[in-house]
Amino acid sequence: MHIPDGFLDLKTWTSSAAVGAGLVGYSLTRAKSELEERRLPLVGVMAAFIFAAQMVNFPVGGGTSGHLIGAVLAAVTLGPWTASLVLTTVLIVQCLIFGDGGITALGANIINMAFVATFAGYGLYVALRRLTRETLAVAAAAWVSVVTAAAACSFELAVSGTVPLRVVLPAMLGWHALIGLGEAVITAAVAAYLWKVRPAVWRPPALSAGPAAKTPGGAGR
Amino acid sequence: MRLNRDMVVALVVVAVVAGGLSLLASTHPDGLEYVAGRLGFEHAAGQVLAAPVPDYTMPGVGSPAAATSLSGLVGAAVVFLVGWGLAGVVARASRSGRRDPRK
Repeated sequence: MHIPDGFLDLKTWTSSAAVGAGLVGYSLTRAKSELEERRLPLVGVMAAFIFAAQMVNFPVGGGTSGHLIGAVLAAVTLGPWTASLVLTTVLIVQCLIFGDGGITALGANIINMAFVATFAGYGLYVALRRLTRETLAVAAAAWVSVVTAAAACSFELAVSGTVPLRVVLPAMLGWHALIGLGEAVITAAVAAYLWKVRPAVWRPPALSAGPAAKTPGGAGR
Repeated sequence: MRLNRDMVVALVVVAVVAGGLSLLASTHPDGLEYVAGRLGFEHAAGQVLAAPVPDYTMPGVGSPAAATSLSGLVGAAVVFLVGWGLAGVVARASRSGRRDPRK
């Protein structure tokens, strides 16, 4: 759901660029607490994996495709603040080198995929992980991350006057409810695998004691 | 996890996805492109900056498959280095605390 140039009007792209820059700046201060020395290369590995996985569009029927966002995968393995920086890195490289997502829409794309998807999904994961099986919590969080990002995208298109909200919102939510199923399956499978083979490293420090930990997670600290 | 076996395995997996699986990607429009086409605002899409590697196709490479593979590998390498580097910078700022260390 990378928004290209031309879909957002001047007021929307300039204000979303300002908000996006502010969010990234804030994340840079919060991510410090999640980044132990030994986990630094993992950030590069996760960013590269998400970039690669985003190239692999999967068909969802009706002549439409989708691809992983990866926000929840990064959040549940590295922590939400680091995840927002990982997604921001991927989005900037996609925009500047590959022309995937417009430069004027970069702020909006960062808001949608690096922040809305990350924190909506991670918040749900933290809430659900003690109530149900963890892979199920991750899958639900991944699905919600895609749908909320699609809602944010629809809102930005509507505010720009590109398309009325009542028209674009149901269409975007409908398709991304399907695409979100792919996100849920991939995210749950990869997270479960990483937790199984290397449980000591692929956990955000706030949650590293496992689902029984009392710490409510990075978002609340 | 330093440059050890784990790291090599992880990077091989990334390379297989970026350079190999990327060739199997569906060419159908993604959710937003499809909705834009359906609702009639796809014509608004443009491009302000020319991209050095447009559409994940490395320029000057004869075979389309090789051009896609190579762009995936290059992109993954760039993202890996920038991600690791950024994490290092953020973590270092962490260890010196919130105050400016020069003071």
